[in-house]
Amino acid sequence: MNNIPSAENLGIPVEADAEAVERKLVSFWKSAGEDGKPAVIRACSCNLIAFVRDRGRLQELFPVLAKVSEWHPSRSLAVFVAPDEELSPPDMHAWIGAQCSIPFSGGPQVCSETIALAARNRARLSLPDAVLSLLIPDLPVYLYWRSFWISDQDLVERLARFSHLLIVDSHRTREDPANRLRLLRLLIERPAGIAMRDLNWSRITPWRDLIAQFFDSASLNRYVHEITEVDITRNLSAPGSIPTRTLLLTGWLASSLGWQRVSAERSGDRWSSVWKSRGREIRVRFTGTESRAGQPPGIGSVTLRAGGEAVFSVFVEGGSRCLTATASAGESRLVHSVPEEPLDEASLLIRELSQTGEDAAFKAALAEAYELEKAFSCPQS
Amino acid sequence: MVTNPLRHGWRISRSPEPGCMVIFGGSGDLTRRKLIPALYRLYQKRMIPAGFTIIGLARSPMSDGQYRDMLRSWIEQDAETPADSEIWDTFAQGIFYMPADYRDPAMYGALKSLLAEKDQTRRTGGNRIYYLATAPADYPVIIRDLGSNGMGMERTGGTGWIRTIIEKPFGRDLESSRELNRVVRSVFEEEQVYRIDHYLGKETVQNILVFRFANGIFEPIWNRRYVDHVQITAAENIGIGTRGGYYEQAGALRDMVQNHVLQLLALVAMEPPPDFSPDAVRSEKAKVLRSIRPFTPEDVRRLSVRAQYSGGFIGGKEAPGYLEETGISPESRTETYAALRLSIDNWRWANVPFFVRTGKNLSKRVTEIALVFQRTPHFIFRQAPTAQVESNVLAFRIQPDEGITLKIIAKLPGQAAEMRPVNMDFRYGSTFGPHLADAYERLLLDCMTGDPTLFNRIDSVESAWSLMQPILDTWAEDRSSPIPRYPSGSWGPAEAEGLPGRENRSWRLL
Repeated sequence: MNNIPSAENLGIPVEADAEAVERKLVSFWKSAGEDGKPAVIRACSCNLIAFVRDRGRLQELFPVLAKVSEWHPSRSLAVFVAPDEELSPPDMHAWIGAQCSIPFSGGPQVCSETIALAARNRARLSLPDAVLSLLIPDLPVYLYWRSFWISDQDLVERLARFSHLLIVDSHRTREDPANRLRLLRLLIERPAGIAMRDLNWSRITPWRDLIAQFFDSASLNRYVHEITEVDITRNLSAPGSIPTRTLLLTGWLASSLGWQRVSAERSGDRWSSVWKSRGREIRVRFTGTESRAGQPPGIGSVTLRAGGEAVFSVFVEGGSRCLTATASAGESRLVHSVPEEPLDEASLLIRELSQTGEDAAFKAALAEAYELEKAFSCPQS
Repeated sequence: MVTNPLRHGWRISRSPEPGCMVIFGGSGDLTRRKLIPALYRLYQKRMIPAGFTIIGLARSPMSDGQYRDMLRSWIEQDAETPADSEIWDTFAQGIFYMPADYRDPAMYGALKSLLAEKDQTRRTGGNRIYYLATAPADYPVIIRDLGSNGMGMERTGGTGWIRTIIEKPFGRDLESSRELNRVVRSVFEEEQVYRIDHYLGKETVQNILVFRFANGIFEPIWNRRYVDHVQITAAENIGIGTRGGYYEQAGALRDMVQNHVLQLLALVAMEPPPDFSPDAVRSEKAKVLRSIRPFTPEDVRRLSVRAQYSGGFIGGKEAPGYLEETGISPESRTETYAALRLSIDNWRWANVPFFVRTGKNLSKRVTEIALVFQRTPHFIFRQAPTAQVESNVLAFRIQPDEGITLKIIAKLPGQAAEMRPVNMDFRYGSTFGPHLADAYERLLLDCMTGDPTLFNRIDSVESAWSLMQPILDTWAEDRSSPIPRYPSGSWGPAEAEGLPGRENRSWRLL
């Protein structure tokens, strides 16, 4: 059985009433188990609400949900607000479908259910209540605000009240620095009790991991407090604004190592900032380079110089599928290559849903990143 | 202990310091099948750092390059480990080889010099793991010579840690286990010793503790008032293969019961520890093993069954009998099947029998722990046949198809009071996605980060041997009675049915 809904053809809507939807789901699963059909296990370990801007975005979302459900079988609710002319009465509609996978060869299919929910007019205001009625009780609720859009903020905040985790993707605000600033502020000022995630933070996890690993070694550990220069190169897909990942990486270094910002300035596609720690000055430079063909956008390299003699680098070479870390200090030079992790939306979500608690490092890095972004936007402040 | 501020608030805080793993038995089967693939996967996952170094020791003369090529070919043959030449090349920079005769004292001096050199060039900081993956007979020799060369002692005030991982068997009986431990303790402190039992690294085994102590509803019924009996099954559907030489000296009791099965029993029967610290968990396990009633020779005859597999069919394929296997004496009395009825003399488990069984060439591969609950004290559905009312069973499936099942009784839809047992199933594969981490990855990382929770402490090992010793002795002394046989592909000898059968209980059909 595989019934992945598509945006163009959501099928016949059902009444957006919890009882009607559940009834439909029961008959749906019953038919899946009828004679002659392959065995199916209906699985659910969480509720995943994905809030998208409009029906058009469902086309991108459904394959993502299908992949996520292989690792986190869930009841997925794809929620969007429809323009008035798009829906026929009534003002709220639901569609149901399923995503199936075979986790072990020879095993039965494991299926998760998807409910698409759309509202128009004033019914949009009752979307959070409708979503609440469709959640599977006692399982964690994860909210993915896929297309950050300020006009949806009130709805998302209401959905977040009964969610355990809110996931956003600051990468999606790249075209609009003002929008990103709003998003960063929203994350910093979020209500207590809701853990927050940014997929961009997940994208830099391998970089942070390899940088941190340099200083796990007893003989290299002292250099972590002797860093004087940080150079970050970044392939810019949209020149003009400083990429969020770069901000977050700098924010993480600064917050973890207790650096105090002294200044921040920008010149074309070069940004630099000066920090102080324990009477030492640290210069952080970002250089934006245009993405070449075949080169994925993202951080290209991070180089840390420390103690006048030690150089630590993490970089991805053009054409390589690996992230390489090198540490040179004194006579030794150590190299470590790891596979570049998939950075597609589904893989990032899968990773974030595997570790759902509060992330103190992210929180601290985000606060620094926000202040740095503000300083670059208004250098005089 | 190095403090790294970049690890503050980290969600994955398990990256160890760089160190050097010396593998004695560097070209052996365990190294090929388990250690190198696990280390490579950890490296790929960024869980071991740059600078991490492997020194393989074995008898054959080989260069570093030849050894690396051999390891690479192993990785390429391992279906579960994706090989990538770019990554392999940097991983291989940390692999070295030293031809070694473990009985040559001069070898240890050379190894010491090599380790000192790697501390400089690869920044391993004096951190060492000695992995004993050799024949058990070599353990005392290696450990003594490490000690006499001053390679076992952590430097006071220094930065390096030294640990040793010892593969089972930890001795072949109580006396040899004590002797081995005397040698180990003459060189290492107990905190430096990691006795590995890969069963304890399995996700589902660890989940027993989470299930018991993170859920409030089960602990109140986890005792003699509600549990009728417990069954532990570790069944294999393969024979001894090429391990005839080893198995002939071991047998099912030494190979499986003394370690894996009793460790599973300890996890399911232990009292709640005050916290999840290594010593708290291991102390509770040791306590419960000490509480198992020792066997008298009479108990051995009444409460144990041993048997050997004869020829038969497994999965439609003909399988030879044990005595026809390569390297097995035609007069062998080594057991390939063992079943025991154990009693735990404490308040929680008084009068609750624990039936355990293990064997080779059985009908299928399955490892399971099942708590069979007492029936209802009074049955109110008089019109329903009481035979329909089975006990509730809580079963932990350790392998394959890892998960937990609770059998409950439900009413069949319709006018009659028909009842059926139904299973409430939790399956790791369908709930948490397809990947379960390999037990060796978990245990190697635990050792590197200095967490011995999932390793056996010496008191548990000795308690387990103390318990097995009367059985081994009685079986060894009995040279006259024939060893029961069971056809390959069956569920064991008919004699085993009597263990629970005498008490109106029966083995579960798995």
